[in-house]
Amino acid sequence: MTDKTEHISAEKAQHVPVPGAAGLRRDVTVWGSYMWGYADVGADIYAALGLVIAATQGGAVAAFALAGIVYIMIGLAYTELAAAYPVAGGGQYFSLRGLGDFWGFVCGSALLLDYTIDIALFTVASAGYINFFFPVLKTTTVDFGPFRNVAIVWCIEAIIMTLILIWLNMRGMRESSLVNEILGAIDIISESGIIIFGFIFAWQPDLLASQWQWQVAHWDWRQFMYGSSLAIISFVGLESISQAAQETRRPATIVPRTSIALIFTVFIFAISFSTLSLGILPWKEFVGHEGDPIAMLVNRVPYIGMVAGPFTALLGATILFISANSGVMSASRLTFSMSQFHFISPWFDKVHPKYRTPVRTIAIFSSIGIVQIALAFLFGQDAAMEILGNMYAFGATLGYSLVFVALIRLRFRDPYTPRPYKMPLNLRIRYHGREIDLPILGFIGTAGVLFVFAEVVITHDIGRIAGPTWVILCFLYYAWYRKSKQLPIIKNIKRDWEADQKAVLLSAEEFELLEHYKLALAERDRLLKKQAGHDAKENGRKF
Amino acid sequence: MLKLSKRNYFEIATSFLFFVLGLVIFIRSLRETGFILGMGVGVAFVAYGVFRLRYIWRFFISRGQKS
Repeated sequence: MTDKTEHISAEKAQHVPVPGAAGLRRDVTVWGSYMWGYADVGADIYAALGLVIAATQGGAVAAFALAGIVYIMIGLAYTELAAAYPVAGGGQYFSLRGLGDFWGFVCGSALLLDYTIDIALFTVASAGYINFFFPVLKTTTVDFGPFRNVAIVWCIEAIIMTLILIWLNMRGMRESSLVNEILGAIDIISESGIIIFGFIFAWQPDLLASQWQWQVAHWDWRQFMYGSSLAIISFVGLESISQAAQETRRPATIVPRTSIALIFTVFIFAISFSTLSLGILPWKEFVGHEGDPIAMLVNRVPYIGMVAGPFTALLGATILFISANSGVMSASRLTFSMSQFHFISPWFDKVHPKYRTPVRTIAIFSSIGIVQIALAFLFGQDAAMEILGNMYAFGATLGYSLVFVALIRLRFRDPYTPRPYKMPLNLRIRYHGREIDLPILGFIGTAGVLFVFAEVVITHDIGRIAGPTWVILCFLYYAWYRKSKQLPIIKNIKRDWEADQKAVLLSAEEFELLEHYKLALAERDRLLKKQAGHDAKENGRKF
Repeated sequence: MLKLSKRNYFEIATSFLFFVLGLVIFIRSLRETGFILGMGVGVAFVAYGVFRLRYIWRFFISRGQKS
């Protein structure tokens, strides 16, 4: 691949600062970093369980296992990249570094789609758990012209919750690390308790086996592909690893430890809940309970069900609301990062004169979330969450595919940046006189996530239309913006990545890695000089 | 002598519980149905318990060496 860097005027080729490097304090601890990720990713199972069981029926465990294996590889890729490049831009930044401006933008727009869906899906799911206490709210429906069974109250609840989030974020409410830690700890204790009690007192292996056998007898590949691609949404939120890395002191040491623990915790909980669900209840019981599957399940566990059911519903509503809030905040961070790299106008970053919050970003992307909620509910009472899940899966798999390709390319393009953690399974090869670790697991992961992406495109009727439409609309804006600023549309703006990397490592207090980086660059320069001298000598002999 | 916090005790207890629970799931799946997915989940739990216990053990070892 050739590097299509456009050398533009000195003014435009100015050094581009790393987003947030100067603005965010690094004061997140090991436990805080772990819980930050858990509050984001751990909430997903509350929304995904009912959708995946409704789609895959008796095959839900296999669907979660398939998506989970792909997720583990994505998680390991994020761990490597976040430890090497501890900046908050996440997938968009990694794709930009590895693949250039255009693909960095595409990844950013896919993740931006996911953040708007995150706001919509998690407020809908949070309202679903509130409705566990008032089932009549969920079942109150009206007909709007051609649209039947529109769950109007549930829809209004979700919109009101989004408006509350907009108001809170505009006023400057910040997601406190302490709140995340407390809620995350309560959630882990509760989920562990549910799993232990459930498996000991209620789980029936024969029910699980009979549902699987029934499923095998009635196997439908398309339905399974649909369900397993939906299962990926129970693992979305890995961007939080890189966001936490931006605010963690000594991220090279802390990020690999916490993120690997987080990845396996989320995986084991997702597998446990699907196994437990199908070993306690027939899959048909979950149909119509896409809004509150875990509360419904826990309510059926002997001894603890009476108390734990409502408690879980309350916990689910809270943690999903916080997850929706993280969507609002992440959209702001991402648009800030994208404007720093000239992907979108800095107009989006305008801060409120009094509250010092990015009001435009908050208003625009949360409003898009409200539109998505309204549109999703038009398709019927039980379809809203499924439609939002459809689009969520598209954005996530597109973004993750690009991150994998970026990881592989960065191993070749930037072998000088120290990698405190590397994905396992590497093959050492020589490339341009330098030893490179070829990431075998990176290739397997790319194939895995592309497979899930293909599943989404093949089976998600709405996602395959709405997802690309979103990316194309974003691209049209990007092309217009770059053209108006006389910046290249497909080619790259010249940036001083080496200076940025040094600044990042310095701000992260990774002094040892900084020294390694400087030494690697010096060695590269020495070899280049030697090569240039050798070439000059050869040319002298010829002429 | 290493001093353990409440969180350390909680982590050790849950890791050990996951290990035991994995064994229970595996044995019940094997005896009652021989269902491979159920047994797989049991093995996953055991592996997760071992992973966490090993992680905690290594953390204490490194802390012990530092002190």
